[in-house]
Amino acid sequence: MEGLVDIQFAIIAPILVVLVAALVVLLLELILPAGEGHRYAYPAALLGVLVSLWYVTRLWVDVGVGGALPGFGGAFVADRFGLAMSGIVLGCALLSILLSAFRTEDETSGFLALCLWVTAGMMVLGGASNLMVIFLGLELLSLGLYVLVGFRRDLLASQEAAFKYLVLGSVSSGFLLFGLALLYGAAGDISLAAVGAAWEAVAAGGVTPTGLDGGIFSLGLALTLVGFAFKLGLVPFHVWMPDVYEGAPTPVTALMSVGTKVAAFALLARFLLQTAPAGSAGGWTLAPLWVLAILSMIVGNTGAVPQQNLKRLLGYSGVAHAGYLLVALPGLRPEGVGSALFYLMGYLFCNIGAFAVIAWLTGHGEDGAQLATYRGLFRRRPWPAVLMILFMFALAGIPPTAGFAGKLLLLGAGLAGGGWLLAACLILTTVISLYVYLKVIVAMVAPEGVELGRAAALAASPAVAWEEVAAADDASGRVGGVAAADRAAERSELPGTGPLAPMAKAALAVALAVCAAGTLYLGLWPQAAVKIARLAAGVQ
Amino acid sequence: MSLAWLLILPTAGAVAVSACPRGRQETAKVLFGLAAGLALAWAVVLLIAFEPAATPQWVLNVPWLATPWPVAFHFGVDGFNLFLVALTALFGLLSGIAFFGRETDLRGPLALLLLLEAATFGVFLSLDLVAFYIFWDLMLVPSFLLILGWGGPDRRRAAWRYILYNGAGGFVMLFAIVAIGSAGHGFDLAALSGGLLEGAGAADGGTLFRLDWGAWPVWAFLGLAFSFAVKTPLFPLHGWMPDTYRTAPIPIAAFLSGVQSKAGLYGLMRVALPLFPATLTAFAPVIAVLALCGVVYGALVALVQREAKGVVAYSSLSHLGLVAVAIVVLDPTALSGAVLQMVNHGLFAGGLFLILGMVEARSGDLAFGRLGGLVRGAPVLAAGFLIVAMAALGLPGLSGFAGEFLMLVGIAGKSLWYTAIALLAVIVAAAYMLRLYQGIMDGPAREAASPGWRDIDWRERLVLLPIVLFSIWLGVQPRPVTERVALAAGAVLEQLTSNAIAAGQAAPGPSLTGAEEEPPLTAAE
Repeated sequence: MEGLVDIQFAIIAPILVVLVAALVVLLLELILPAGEGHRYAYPAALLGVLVSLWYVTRLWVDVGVGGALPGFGGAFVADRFGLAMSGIVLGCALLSILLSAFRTEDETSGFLALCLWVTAGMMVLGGASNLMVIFLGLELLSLGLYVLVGFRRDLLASQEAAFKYLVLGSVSSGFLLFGLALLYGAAGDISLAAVGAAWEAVAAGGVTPTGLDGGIFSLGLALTLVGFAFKLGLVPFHVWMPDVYEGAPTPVTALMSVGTKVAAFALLARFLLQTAPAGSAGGWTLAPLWVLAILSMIVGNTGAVPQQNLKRLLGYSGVAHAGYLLVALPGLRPEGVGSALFYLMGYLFCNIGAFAVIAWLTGHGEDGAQLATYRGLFRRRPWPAVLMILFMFALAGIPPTAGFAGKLLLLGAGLAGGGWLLAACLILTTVISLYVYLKVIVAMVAPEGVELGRAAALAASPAVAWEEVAAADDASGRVGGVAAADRAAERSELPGTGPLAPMAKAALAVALAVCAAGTLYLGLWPQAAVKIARLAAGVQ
Repeated sequence: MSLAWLLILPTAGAVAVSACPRGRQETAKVLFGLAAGLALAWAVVLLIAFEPAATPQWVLNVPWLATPWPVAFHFGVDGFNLFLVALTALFGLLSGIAFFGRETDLRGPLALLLLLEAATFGVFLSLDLVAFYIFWDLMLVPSFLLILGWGGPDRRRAAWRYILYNGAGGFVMLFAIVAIGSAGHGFDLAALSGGLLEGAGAADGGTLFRLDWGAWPVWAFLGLAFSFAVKTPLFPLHGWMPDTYRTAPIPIAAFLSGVQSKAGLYGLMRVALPLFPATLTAFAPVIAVLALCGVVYGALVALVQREAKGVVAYSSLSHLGLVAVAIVVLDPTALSGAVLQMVNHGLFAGGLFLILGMVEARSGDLAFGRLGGLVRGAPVLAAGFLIVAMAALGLPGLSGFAGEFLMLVGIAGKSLWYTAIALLAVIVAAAYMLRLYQGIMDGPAREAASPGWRDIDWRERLVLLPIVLFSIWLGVQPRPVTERVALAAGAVLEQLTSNAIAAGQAAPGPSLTGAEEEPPLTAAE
């Protein structure tokens, strides 16, 4: 029956489950007696994510190779590509929720509900196939993140980050909406297929199907890509990333670092693969995008070099990785998208793993975000240090980690697609990034005659550590007062006293173990995951 | 499966050593000895069971990736890597035993050393480009952590230099390798060799001007060559080397200079030569001239060092430069000599570092001005030192001579100028090696030597004994080595010639019968 809207709840079941879980988390707070709700909020949220994952696997089987289940008048589609992206996003949500397990009681439910909504927004982007749903998904994702980034109302840095994210994010949403509107005007329809037809017509004759000048379409395309680039964090639309990564609570940073990247990449890849005229692979029209990728690799990696704050460093690293992902796209080949998908799987584990170490240290009374904290960590706390070494090597792309296998595939995809310059840039900037990630390892491993006494003092008394770090910060020219006040606030709220503390530590340990296992598994035995990634991209 | 044990044993040992409870030093030592000892025993078994033949033996093929290209952990042993594997196993054990005397917590260094050993085995055994690269990069990690965590003063700078130089080299190689794989023939060395990638037209290259600079094989070759030159290191890419060898814990310096430096030359021989023979021929003069600069420069700088480790470090630059020249002239005699000299250099450079470690453990210092006259207090150490130093300067009857002689004969077939310059460095080598020995052992006893000096104990004798024995054995009887290497070298060069003839071109490089008068080779052929 051809209705105006063919509602297919089956294909959005994973998203619905996540949304329902968010509501359940909120309702628990209301139904249960005060102070009881948060006990059940985590299990409920985790359960929701797991059930959603189960639906994703069910749909994966149902959809079949190369198949697609469209619904809602073509507005949303469930295909293996979107489902794989949803799977990665859900994994990211799962790990981020585990990382956030030591919120205090009164803020748990709101936090978790927002996390789940953001996750749902990311999953919508995985399957969005018309311009409206693209915007809907992006806004669902962004609005939740604006609140989450500023969730620590007692921390100035968090407030600052939220404000920056809100302002710049709104501007980019404006760009995107304007771009989408122009595309709609040029194509006469909001489906991606119509946009593709318009692109072809413009490429062939310079006039859109609606009879407008081809320039309208190009402008719309450019503004849309700017909107995507902002979410992906491509230079020069990356300026928010280091600040927001630094200021946001660590679990939120983890969620947005991987989840947003996955969602934005899924969006970009689907948009380009479905709309760019066949055969031309985008041609020169997409040249600016490759320039942005090269700039991102260079700026992201060089920008990370002087950073003394690990979350900030990972923010710049996120910029660089956005550039790496685009190396897979030249030629717009499905094989390339498969490689990028595999890379994202690895990135999920190693990047969240790094944030998990930060959260672990913060949970144990040290300031995990400051590089200074990591001095001599290998001798003080060998296990977190060893895991951090693993994740840093993975981010740098050194075997036997997922980062290496991913980079190998990205390089192969770039070269096969004709992106020689991008691939060469990937290699050159990887050398720079080696310095960045090894800087952290050097801090942890290198013994220092003078520093040894200090490390012992750090281990014995966190108070000394805070003073030391604050002093170091003053010396480095940061506003010491603000930083010190923030740290005092953060400390006052550290876990270790509340009823959740042992569970929170267990949750963190599980997250760390999963990340480490995933990083190593994808590095040592990549074949199965590569196969899944390629199937998702529609390659046998 | 038999080759997998070489990787499994050290890796399992590393896990066991790091799982040892704190303070159980003896257990850690026993576990290390077990793992490294078994690996050495296995390498010796391979050495004995090796059938002289040109094709790789005990081939092991474990697939890693099937799509988008097949990648496999494809291992095999032939004349090129047989002895390097044995050298790796030997120094894996000896370097660890040399660590035993230290007071620090030994679990970290011993576990990392085992990982380093496993990765080095992987590099020497791999017959697949990606596997080769994976192990190549894996070598970096433990050596970097060892320098950083347990090195001497200034270890940060040394570790940074080490990892940035070698990391850059490694990533450039990765780019070259992926470019090679993207050409559509996969990553398996056997399927790629014989100049297949260069196309028939490239075989008439011969000079740099006639190379097709717009085609990717030239750049892929340059990437590989860069990476290998950094690792060896060859002049002028040796910037990381003096700091690393001086600062690394001495057993690790021994392993790096003795074994890991051979990985670069081995890569030149195993990867660059069969894959890009015509390009290599075209670049041979450039590489040879740069390497010869290193030969002379290294020798001269070694001569004026004020500290003993610097002498060995720069002598390596000099010795390995000559080996590089011997590889790029594409002559079977020179190639056999190159492999023999790689083994010899491993023995004497690694051995000298280990000996210097014994001296340093007693004197706390290796500056020439503060040492002297140790021969009276430590006659056994002095005897071992003398033999290894003489082997290093190429005294006939000791290991250094045969390799150097074969290389020089082979190089002379290509260019007498190269030989003449190399001979110059051999003369200087005598000067700096004697200065090294005499500065420490002879003369009046200086302040650093006097108190509490004792001769080496049984543990240190155990370290020294195999090095001295092999130095003598390979000097008196190099034939078992050259015979087996000549088979592999002949096979590689023959394939190039037949390919060139098939393409209707002249053979790249000089004729294969250039040095028939050399007895070990004629016997082998």
